Amino acid sequence: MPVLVEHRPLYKMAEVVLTLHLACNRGKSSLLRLHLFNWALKLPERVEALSQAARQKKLNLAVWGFDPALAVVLRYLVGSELLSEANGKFTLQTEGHAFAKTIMADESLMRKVKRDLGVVGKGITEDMVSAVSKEWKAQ
Amino acid sequence: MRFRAIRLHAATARGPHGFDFRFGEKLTIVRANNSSGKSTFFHTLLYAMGMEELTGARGTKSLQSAVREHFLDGQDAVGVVSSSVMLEIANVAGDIITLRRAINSTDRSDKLVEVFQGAWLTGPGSHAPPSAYYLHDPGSAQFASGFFRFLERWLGLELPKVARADGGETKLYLQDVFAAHAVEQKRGWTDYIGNAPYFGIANVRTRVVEYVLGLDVFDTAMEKGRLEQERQDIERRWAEAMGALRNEAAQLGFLPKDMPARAVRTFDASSLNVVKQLPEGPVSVGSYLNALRAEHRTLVAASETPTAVQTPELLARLSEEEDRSQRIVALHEVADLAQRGRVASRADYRRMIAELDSDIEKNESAAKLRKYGANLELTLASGQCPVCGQAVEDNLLADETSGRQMGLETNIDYLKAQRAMVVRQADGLQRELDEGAVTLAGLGRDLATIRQRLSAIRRDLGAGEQLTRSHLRAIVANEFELGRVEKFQELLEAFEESLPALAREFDANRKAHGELPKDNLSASDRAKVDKFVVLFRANATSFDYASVQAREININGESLLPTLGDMELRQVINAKVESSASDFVRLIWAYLIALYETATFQGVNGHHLDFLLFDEPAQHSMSELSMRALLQRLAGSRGLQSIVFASFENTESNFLAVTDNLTFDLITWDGKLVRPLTTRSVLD
Repeated sequence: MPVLVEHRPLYKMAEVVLTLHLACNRGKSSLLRLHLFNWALKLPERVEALSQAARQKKLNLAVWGFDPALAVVLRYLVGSELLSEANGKFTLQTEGHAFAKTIMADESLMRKVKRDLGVVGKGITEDMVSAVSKEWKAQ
Repeated sequence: MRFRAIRLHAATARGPHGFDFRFGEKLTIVRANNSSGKSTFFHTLLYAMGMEELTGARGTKSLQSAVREHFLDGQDAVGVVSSSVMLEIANVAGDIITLRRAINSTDRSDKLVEVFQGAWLTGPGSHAPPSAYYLHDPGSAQFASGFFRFLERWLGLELPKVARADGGETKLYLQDVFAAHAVEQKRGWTDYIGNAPYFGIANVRTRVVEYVLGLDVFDTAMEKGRLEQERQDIERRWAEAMGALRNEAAQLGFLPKDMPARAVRTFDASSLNVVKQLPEGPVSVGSYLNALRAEHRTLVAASETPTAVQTPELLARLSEEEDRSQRIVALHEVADLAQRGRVASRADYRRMIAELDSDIEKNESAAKLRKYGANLELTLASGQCPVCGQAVEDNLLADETSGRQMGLETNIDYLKAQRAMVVRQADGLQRELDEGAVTLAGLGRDLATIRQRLSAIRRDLGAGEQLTRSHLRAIVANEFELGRVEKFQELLEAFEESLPALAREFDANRKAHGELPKDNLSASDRAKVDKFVVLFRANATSFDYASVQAREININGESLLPTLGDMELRQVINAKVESSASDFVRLIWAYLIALYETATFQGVNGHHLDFLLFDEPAQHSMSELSMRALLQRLAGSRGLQSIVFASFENTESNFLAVTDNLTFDLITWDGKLVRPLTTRSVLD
């Protein structure tokens, strides 16, 4: 059976590390926002929606998907000490920054992910994400 | 190459100092006790030829302070104001030049080597102005003003292109070739061709030996390149011919059938099959042409017998042509539908290829990440859990999926195979698309013609001319088509000759490619290496090599280095032999001398420079007997100039025992090497 490359641990780890490095201030993010990016990176339309949201400073998404693979890979990342976890936030550690820089240095590596994250930028804030998630509780 | 003389000139406050020596034609022994300047002499000699990198340093750093800063005169240190070294050498053609290179100078760079024509040290030089060449700058091996480029040409060498360790290619460096000729004592006796400076050439020792022995491997590589170029040229011409054929045919509604898109090794003129799709089925160019000619004859004959307009006959023809028109319309519709389907499939294939490309890129990223991850010591890069250390599946959702999981490399191969398959199908589809377009265009043309004919018949029905309008139109159309098809027929005949010829050319090219030696060594190379083995073993025996039996030693066909079993033969620890280290040095002597002997053996056409410089070959308390055997071998080698620098254990008795009854020239001095000069030279 061929394996989806997004399910290879190292590939997914690299994707999360890049997300924190390129799209999150101080390399720090809530689980909810990581799921949002993970979900968005799967389709170009979703990336476009995020990039629009970043420009308008408002998320026009009602829901996004939660991926069990992300949960597993976050455990690996914390176990490898690339990330630390505290108060429900994941933060890039020194090793994690080093990994991100290695990936950035090799141009041929993960070109699409880098481009997508670059297009979105750091404009998707935790406030925007929690504003949407509060809606879920309200209903 | 011959060394004729060397002169060091150092200007000091106490007058000109330095040294000035002549070398013999065959064996020259430079005898000097330790610390009396033997190494200074050797290093200065290499420096004079720009070869100081053999000692591991570049520029004047390779030289002892005695020739560049200060030397001892009795108890006093005498400062060197300026100094330079001159070296007189001759090449095979007997052309003599004198090199001058500054060591300590305010006005001349140590990267400059001046080349004076003629024997400026031993006789009158030519008064032609010297030429200036430069060393150690990028390109000194490549550009005309580079010294190594000059030296290479002057020595009559043409250094081959070799592979770099990083995958590129470069010219074999002259310094590396010199390393097979000059052995410096500190590093040189630790390995075969141990002095070879590292310039990024993969397996440099092997490349040097291949070159010195004049093996065909470089020629083979060149020939491979030439054949590949030729193959591409044939492929290009083939593709052009096919394109031209298809184009010309398409204009007439013809279609070449089953033509190989890429060059083939045999092509029979009879397999040139071009057809036209008619309502009655496909016809060949020949039968189409015959039909046109027959029609032409009928039409002409009919026009010569004037008849009144026959209405019933015209009506019959009208209905016949209408039937025909309808059949063509039906054919056209079917072909058009099929073509639309193909266009849609082509879009599908393109999308699939783009998706596969993206997948392959991502998977290759994943493969690279494993390497980077390993560099960062991520245990997951080697498939272990970072927390418990147990093996983990290379799949985050392994628990959710069943069946054997594909490894990353297999997965990449799998995707590439898939891509290749889709590309093949897309190519096939493209051919069908091209054919479909031709068929459609042909049917369109036929339809236009028949419509014109129909309208002419209809007009005839209302007219009464002798030669009907429809008849005239038919003749004009027939003649027009006939002319074009005849021209095309000529073109086809030209292809019938050119395509089989091109196929034969391709076949010859592939045959020549197949005949190139597979394992690098051609038959003549094999013979040279066999000769090399014999000479090497004989030398090892005569130098009392004792660690293993000489006949057990082989020369590996790939590395060209001595091997014992499968291993490169180096120092063998053997209790029966007194010093295994000195035994390895014997092996290096045997190897370098065998290299010279093989290269100059009749029919080998090697590229040895016919000299050997050995700096203190008696390493590791070498026995007097072995040293004597070495000097005897060197003195007895015809055509070889050897210069041996040796201290003879600082004793007269060792010197006498080793050189007894030997013919040689001696260079020696009392005390220090750098001393007041008693001679003058114009080049000082």
